Amino acid sequence: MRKVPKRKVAIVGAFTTPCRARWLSKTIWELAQWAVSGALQDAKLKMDRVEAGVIGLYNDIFARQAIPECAFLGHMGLGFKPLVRVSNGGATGIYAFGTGFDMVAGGRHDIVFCVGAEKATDCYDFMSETQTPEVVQTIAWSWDPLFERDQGATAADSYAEVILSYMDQHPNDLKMAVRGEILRIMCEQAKNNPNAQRRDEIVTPERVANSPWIIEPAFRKLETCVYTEGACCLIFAAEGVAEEICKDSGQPPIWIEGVGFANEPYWWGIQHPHKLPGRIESDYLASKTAYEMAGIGPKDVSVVELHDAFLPQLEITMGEMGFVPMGRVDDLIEKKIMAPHGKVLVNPSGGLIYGGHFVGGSNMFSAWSARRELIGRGLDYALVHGTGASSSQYGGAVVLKRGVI
Amino acid sequence: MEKVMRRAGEYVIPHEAVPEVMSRISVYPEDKAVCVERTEAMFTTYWASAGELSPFFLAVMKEKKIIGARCPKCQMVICPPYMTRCPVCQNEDFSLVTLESGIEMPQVGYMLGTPPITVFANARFARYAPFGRGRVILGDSQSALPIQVFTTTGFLKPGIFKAGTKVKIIFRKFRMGFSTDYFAVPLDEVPEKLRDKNGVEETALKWKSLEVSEPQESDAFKKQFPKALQAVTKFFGAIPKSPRAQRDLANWTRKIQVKTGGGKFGLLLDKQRIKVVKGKVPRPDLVLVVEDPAHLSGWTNGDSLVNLIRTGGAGISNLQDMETIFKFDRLHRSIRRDAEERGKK
Repeated sequence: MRKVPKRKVAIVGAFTTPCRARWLSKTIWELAQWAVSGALQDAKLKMDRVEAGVIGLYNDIFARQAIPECAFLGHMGLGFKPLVRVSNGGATGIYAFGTGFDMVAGGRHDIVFCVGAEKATDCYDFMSETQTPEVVQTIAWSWDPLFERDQGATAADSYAEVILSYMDQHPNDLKMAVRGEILRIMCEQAKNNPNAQRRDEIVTPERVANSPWIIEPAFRKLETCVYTEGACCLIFAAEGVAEEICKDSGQPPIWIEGVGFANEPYWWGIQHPHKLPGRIESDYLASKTAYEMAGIGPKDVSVVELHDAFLPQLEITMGEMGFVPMGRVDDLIEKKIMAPHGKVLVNPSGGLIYGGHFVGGSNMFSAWSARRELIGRGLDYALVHGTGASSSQYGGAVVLKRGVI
Repeated sequence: MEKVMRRAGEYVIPHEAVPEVMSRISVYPEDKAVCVERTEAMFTTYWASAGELSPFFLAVMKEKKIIGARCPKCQMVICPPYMTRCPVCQNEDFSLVTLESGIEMPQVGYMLGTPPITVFANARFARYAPFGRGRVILGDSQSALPIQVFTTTGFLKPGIFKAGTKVKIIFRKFRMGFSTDYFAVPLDEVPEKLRDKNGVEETALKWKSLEVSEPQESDAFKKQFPKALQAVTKFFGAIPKSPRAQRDLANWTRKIQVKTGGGKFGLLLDKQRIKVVKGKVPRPDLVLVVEDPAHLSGWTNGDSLVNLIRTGGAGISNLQDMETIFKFDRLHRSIRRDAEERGKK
């Protein structure tokens, strides 16, 4: 049954900070406040009209504080108003988006902001004298402490399990030449994103093929997302209010037409109720729900901003979301689906691999980019996706539609 | 309460991972802002109970058994027995059906999927690297047991374990109630007389040494050696011009002996530079064996030393020092990116 919200909700303002490997000169408070300030400016909106907020903060260890959201309320001008913190693994951003949408669609608030922020690379491993092992270790605390964590589970090897099990079932898919071409395209696209972390990099399929394996044959070094520090804020407004704000700002409303979420179980197995190898069913179910709510299908979508933690996972997710058949996800390039060879613009921001991945707000960053592309290129529909948790079990998808002033 | 078991000298937080109370004043080049950085830590220590899951770990520790659980209504079997009630079946009073516990599982099973192999373990797991971590289906279980996988044949390479590979559960000699008390090896690496036996300990298997062997000398390798040495010297000579490469090597000191089939040389890594010295290095921290010197030339052009080690084209004397090799593999990209940026300016 098609489920529709009580009232329509639009994005009426958005701002993202530049993505950097490290913002030495800024705390996470400053990054979040900067993003809120920018989004208010973008919407030409007074802070006192904002009734409530949602903040996506991925984990307390990166923030160096338990219940870190408590310090943000005052910084963001929301004193004495409700602020909800959302933390849902790598999918924190998309779930925070969904929470903000619900707050407006359900009729409780007319104007809500949704901000996501992250500082990850203050983490430092004093044994190797580098940041990465401690960042990786921090993410590794996500695994259950009894059965998996002691075995050395990491973010990379768990996503590799998903990818390798897909390869077990489809050994002729996910070809390196295709992966290299998608990376080349995304790297090129990142140059058009003023906030992209790796916008100066030049990546060719040859460089991808020659980069070291992180986990063979799942992915190489140039196929992995980056750690980013940054923040993004979106402002949501209800139908009736949104048009008025957009008239003042001179930018069209971006209507949130469909929203869908699904989480797979933690434990893997050979049948339900377990997570199955070779699939990211959460992506399939989340996008299916979002499409149904919007009354559209993948054929109607011009822009996809997808949570590409690792490049082969991007291809599998595009299969799960219906753009290419599962087992033939290389059709993205081989059958000219993905722009510039085809029509669907995938990760014009450069994605999480080239644009940046500040976990608490990455999916908002994707929404910021999708809105930018819809307005800038005069397109109709965009799909924003988020995934996360230890084996990409959390999925979220949002359909956006460009409106008129 | 039974006596406390301990791994003498091992700490939950390794001593070397704990920084002193320090601060420093830093200026990040991109911001030109002067910032104070301080060492901090968030830590909580626990006597963590395995609670209702304790019987699983007790069976491993005391009886060298793997146990699962079964739903009496739908017959679903799960291993590990990660819950006590069936999430699908309900009693007439609407409560969830209680699972039968203590179901002994067979100790031969198959891999659910191809397990990933971790070479770049984080610092706290470096002592295990390279290791695989996958999931094994035992008997009628519908869920997979998360498990570390090892080979008795040396360096763990892709292809040894695949989806469907038959494996045998092996138990550590010293078991303390952790999920590392047991692991899997390919069944065909287990002597036939042990394959049907339950409770096999690691000491019952023959483990191939990981020691590096001396390179085989040849005239062809000797001919290539000067060219390789020149390429390596030129490559390391670019480090002082690359801030990224210098950051890669910050606070890292090593004396490395490189042995090839055409000759040997040393690398002295200190103060964010690497000096190349001819011949033998006294008391090296690490020995790197690359039989074919051409591989070294390839590495200076962006090939990966890690891949070379994984595919058997090179070896190191201390697998726990892969971090040094990882740093070496970062250098090419760092130098290239800095050169590209200089070119743009």
